[in-house]
Amino acid sequence: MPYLIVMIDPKILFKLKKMEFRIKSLVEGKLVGIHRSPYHGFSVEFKEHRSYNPGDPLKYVDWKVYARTDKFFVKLFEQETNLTAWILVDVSSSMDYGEPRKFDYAATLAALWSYLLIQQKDEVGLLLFSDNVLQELPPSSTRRQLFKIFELLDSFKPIGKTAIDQALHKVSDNLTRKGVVILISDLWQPHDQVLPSLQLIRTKDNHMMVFHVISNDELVLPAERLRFKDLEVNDEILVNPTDIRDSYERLLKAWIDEYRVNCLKYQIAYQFTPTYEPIEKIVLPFLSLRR
Amino acid sequence: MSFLAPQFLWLLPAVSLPFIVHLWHRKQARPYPFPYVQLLKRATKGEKAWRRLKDILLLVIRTLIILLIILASARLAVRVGNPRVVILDDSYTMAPYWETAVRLANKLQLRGEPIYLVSGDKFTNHVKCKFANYTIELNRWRRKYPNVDFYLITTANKVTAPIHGRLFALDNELSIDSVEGPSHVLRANPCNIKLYINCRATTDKRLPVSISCGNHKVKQYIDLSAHKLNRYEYRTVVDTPGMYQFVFRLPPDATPVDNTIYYTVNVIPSIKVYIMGEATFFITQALAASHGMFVIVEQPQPADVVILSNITSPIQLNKPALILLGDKIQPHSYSELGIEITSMKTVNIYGTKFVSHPITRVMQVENIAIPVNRYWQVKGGNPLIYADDGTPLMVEVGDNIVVPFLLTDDYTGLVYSPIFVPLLYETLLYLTKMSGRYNFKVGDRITIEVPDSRGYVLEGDNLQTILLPTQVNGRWYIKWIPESPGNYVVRSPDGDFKYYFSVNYNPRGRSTELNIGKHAQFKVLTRWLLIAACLLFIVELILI
Repeated sequence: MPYLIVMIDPKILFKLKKMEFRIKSLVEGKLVGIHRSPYHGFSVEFKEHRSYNPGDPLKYVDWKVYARTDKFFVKLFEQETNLTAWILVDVSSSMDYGEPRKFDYAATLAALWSYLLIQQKDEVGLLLFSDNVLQELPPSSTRRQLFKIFELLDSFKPIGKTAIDQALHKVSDNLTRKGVVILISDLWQPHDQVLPSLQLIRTKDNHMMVFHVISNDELVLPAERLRFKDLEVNDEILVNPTDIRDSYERLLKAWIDEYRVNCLKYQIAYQFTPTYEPIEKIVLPFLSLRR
Repeated sequence: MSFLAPQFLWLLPAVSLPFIVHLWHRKQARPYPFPYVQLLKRATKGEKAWRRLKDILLLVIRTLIILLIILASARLAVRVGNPRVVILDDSYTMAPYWETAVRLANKLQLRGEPIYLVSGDKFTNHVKCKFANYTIELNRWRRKYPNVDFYLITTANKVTAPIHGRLFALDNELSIDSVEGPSHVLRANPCNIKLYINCRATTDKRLPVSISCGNHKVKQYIDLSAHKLNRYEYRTVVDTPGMYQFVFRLPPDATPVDNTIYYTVNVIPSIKVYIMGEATFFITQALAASHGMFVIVEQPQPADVVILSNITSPIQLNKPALILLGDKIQPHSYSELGIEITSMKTVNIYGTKFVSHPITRVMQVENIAIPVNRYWQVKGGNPLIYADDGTPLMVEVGDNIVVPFLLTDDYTGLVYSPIFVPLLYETLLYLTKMSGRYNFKVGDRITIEVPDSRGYVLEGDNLQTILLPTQVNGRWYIKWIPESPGNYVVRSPDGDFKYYFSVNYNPRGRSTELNIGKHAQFKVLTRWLLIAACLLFIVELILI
């Protein structure tokens, strides 16, 4: 667990351990968990009464109401279940950049999310992608799954182009029940290719979270005249960053805003994630104290 | 424009430094991996044109800065009318060259530019230095007065150190100062040519003279004696009409002067003169001294002109006559001829002092007949020669000329006097109606008045054509522009009218004068170049 050790303060980890991640929308889980399920039945939480229909099990008849009203009513309960979360980590070459490295930060974030979710018995699957899906770990809520995730993240090296849409399509296919999709990427792919895929995830009523990882070196260009070589494609440009600083920052802001606005539009949780921010600061807004 | 320190121009290749640095920098720019170059490209889209323009501007500015600095180092200068200081060495060793040196100093003064002529003696009064220090002083002055052009005229053997000034060293092995001689056409055949060569040689040597006429070339020598500025006389006789070229083959180190003289020997036949009366010694000697210009004939019939010398009895003559009133005519004779001698007067004719009796009154003479003991009457005509006070010395009387010379027994001086031959020549020429100019040059506009509108024949050495006269103010003129030198005659078809003239080489465009214009004066632009470089540097900083 190198990332957790290096990047996350154990105190923070201890603090996070007391927190839980709850989603407001409904999820379909197999096990009993802390999330609301669309399925009704016997469980902990009472929801409402309804008129008795022939064939309903007699054990759900509320006899106290019958005593008061002389009519048969059946008690309905809301099921609490666990969720299935897919963590998509961008491992394209563009993630191999910055100080700290974007991929390291993304991996740590993914590890943290895995830890938190498995801690609360949720199933977590991991998908590493670049121009294709490179590694896929099916969802599981076991402790072993957590170590598998750590191991995978630790051993992987960024390679290839960014193709977020393909990864999202793959996850969309994989999701048999409503769940959570966590996308951790630098989103260096044109909006018109990525946004429809994000929308696709949302149309299936999945909960979607996007962590837009940006390095400080991307936000602030270096000062000297350089030959910028693209990490993903064979492309380069000789430019003096001081000449284009203003226009670059303007374009970058527009680029980020485009994702932010569209995510808001599709009810996707968007989190701007600069690598200079402490990782817990990124995660905390999504957590609440365990009851 | 010129460079006063051209050795710095070797730095000119440094102008390419900005280009090299630009290319090298472009090549050597550190590769820098970046996640998404597309965004950078988009960012540069708007900036691209301006960035490229800025790059070019910076490149040009940097190149210009280097260029300006190099030009400033090379002391770029433009021609200006700087004041000139001519330093003339007046030591004794300059004695043989003194005239040349002074003439040279005056030539330096010719361009109308400001000059301070500093002669040696005045100079030493101020500076108190010997000549050995002149070079040092000159170099010091050059630094002190950068906008003054210094010219030093001295002998070459004194110049031991390099001088940063204009130097005219006159100590050549052979220096021909000038060549004098008649450069006009001689209307005689054969023709005697006399040249005077002022030159000095350091050793006894023979100065080769090459004479060429067409394809014919003769080489002769003048023996020069050493260490003397002498006036050598060179005489030769040419007997064939044509254009002659005398070239003095000078050694390369000789002081450049005009070493070529052109002559035209005309084809006019000798003027046949018949002397009526007493053929006095001075007349015969004068005619003989003309070297064939005049030929004395024994009979009046073939004569072109008649000289009446001391005629005391009436004669009958149907030819133009030159009447010489000689010593045999006593003052009363003058009175009888209607000429009163009022006073003796010294006059200057052709640059020679000549004692004459000015004529105050001349009476008319009828036709050619000179009735002695009768009064002459003057009818029309213009006097040819005037005395200082405007008094005519030679009086046209009808078709004749009266020359009132005072001829004494000691008349040998007159014979050898340069005035007599040209006077005789002009007079006789006038009388023979063979008047004409001889000093035309190639390209001159020649206008000859002719009697009528007939076509006139123009004949030259290799030319024969007919010219039609044009009328101006009721008179007829032939106009012509010669293209080649030679002897020409315009004559009427029946031979009544003849006008001889010669066309000489036009010396324009062929000058052996010291070309002062080449010794231009310059203003150094170093300061302005450096200011411009600084301004460009500021612009560069702003652009960066």
